[in-house]
Amino acid sequence: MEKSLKIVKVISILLIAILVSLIAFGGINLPKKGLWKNILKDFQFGMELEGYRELHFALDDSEEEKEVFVDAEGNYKGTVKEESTDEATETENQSGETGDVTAPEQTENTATENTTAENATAENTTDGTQETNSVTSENTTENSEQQNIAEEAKVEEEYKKETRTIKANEEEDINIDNFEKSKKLIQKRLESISQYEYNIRQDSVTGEIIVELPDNNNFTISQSLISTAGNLEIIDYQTGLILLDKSYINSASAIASAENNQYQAYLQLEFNKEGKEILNKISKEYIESTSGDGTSEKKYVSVNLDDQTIIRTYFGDELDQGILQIPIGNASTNYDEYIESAQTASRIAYLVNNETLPLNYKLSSDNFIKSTLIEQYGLYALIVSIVVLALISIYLIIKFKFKGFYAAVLDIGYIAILTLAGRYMNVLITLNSLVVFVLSILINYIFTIKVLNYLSKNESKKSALLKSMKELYISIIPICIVAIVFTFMSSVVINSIGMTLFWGLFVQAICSLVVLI
Amino acid sequence: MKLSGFKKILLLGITLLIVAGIVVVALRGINVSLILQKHDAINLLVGKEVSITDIENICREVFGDKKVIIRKLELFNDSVNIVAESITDEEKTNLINKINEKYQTEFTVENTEVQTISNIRVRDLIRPYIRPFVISLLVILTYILIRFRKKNILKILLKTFFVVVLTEALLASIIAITRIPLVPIMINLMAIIAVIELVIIIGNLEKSSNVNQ
Repeated sequence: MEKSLKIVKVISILLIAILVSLIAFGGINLPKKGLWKNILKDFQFGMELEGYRELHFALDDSEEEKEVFVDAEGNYKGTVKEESTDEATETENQSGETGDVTAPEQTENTATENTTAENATAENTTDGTQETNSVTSENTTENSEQQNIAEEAKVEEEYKKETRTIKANEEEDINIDNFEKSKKLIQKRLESISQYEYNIRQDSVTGEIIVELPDNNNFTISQSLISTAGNLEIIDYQTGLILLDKSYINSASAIASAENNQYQAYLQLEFNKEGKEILNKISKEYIESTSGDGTSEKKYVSVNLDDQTIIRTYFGDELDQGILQIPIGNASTNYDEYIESAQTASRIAYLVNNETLPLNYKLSSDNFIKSTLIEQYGLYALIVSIVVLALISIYLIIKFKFKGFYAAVLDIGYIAILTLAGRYMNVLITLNSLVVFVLSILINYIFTIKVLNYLSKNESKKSALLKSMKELYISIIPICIVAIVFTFMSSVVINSIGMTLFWGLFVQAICSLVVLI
Repeated sequence: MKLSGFKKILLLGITLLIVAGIVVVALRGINVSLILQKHDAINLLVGKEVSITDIENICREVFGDKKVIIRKLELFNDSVNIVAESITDEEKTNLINKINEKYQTEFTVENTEVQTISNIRVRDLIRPYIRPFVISLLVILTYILIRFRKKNILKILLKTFFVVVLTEALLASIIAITRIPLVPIMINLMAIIAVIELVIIIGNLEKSSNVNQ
């Protein structure tokens, strides 16, 4: 009876191993819309095997004559807002506008009000000379004009206006030191992304930077991290004067709130002592106020990143803690939308917390370069693998007879489970992970041969397995350490090694236990 | 530490090889694969399905013995990226003429740009490996320190560290001297060799502990 059970167990394990192998190597093909399709999850490849986007970034050579504010020492203090620019920016920035920055729970309501106010301001700039339709609009226009004039007069007292040629990159900044610094900062930025993978090249003469990036979900973020210098400024929306810049910020972080099933991402800026005072001052000045005739007036600040407006807003409360929370994106019940906003907030926080690029780059070309490695060498690699596995299996069968055959089938089953783990555990397949995959298979064969050797010395199955496991795991402790350390690294070339090793060892241990039981 | 005659000769040989490797790297640098070194590239948007073999044949005629890499551009198999160490005006003209002839395209020398692509620095390739490798090595050495604390631990640690560093330096020297083009996977293979070496060292230490017990 016991012998029959043993036979049934052996046959069952063999059948399961064969079935798993058939599934892993042949796939599960089911008809879908009239076509037979493999329903197994596809492998995810790294950029060496999948291909990559080759982005060329050249130094931005644009220049523009602008009227700017300068202080007594002649330092640049912002670009004077022109009427036309004002109008254009307002239209562009509608999506970035929000209500009272200090009262996030009111954002949605105030945003609606803001849109009305914005339309009024737009009328002011575009149709300033025309008669407006409603009394309210007329009043708002007049009040805004008066307010703007008063504001401009005040600013002009403090700052001179000058016409300067504003270059994206000043000539004195274009030097090898800044080329190097830019490259290092770009590397640091790209390495801040989890699961990063990139190659970077730099021309030391022209400063051109070529970055090779995988065409995956991180692509847009990576690209923006390269092309954004990282200058964060809070400016007077009405005049264009810089009120606060990055030098006043101690730290930035991305935070979130969840209220009434709505998620909202925020960029939290913590200012230094000087910044705290200025923030306090502007939080009392850039507010919504009601004039004598009951009309509401708003004075805005805009938060700009590299001259791109993140948000246009005003303050509801006086800020005396030196902390400013800026809503990023809209409050949303859609978690994916929130994640996108949270990622944007994190990216901006990272840029604020780190050095600004000394040079401005612009994207000059973008090509996807397909990898031909699988196409060129895939078949050869497959043939070699099959031949090697067949030879090892034949060796095991010849040397250990039925036990060798049993072990050979189980080893192929092990490879099959490992490939399934690769598909479903999001292990990125890179050349490095393929090498480690082979190493895992090799470790498994060493283990098999150890067990078979013990069995041939008439040891019981349990004893043979336990002794082999003890010997193997004690000697491969360095490999286990490498597997764990490498798995937690952000670089794809490194964590693909760690993940493959980890799953290789894990599957090996589980398979051994299954056979043991 | 007393070394036998054979070990002395071996150590001397290894030292000489490492010195030779350093000299070669100092004088000629590391030989890196074409795709990692500074190269010229031409992107051709042919507009109809191209075969890599056909382009390879054309490149062989145009570039002769020069190393060339051909890759497909974008997703529609109708564009190619041809990479060579350098592309002269004459080679460019010949290449364009032959492509035009083969695919009935109308590329001209003027509208086809040869892009100079800078090199990828070896230090940038090694960069991601440094932190995990150092952390792993420290953890492994700590493990050895705890596991074999009853033995002459300082000697074991120094020996382990020395053997790993020496092997890696030897491998790097061999790669430099033989002028084998460096490809990124070699760095991984070198790391694997170091780990296997540690496995062997720990295995031997375990064996000697078992014998002593």
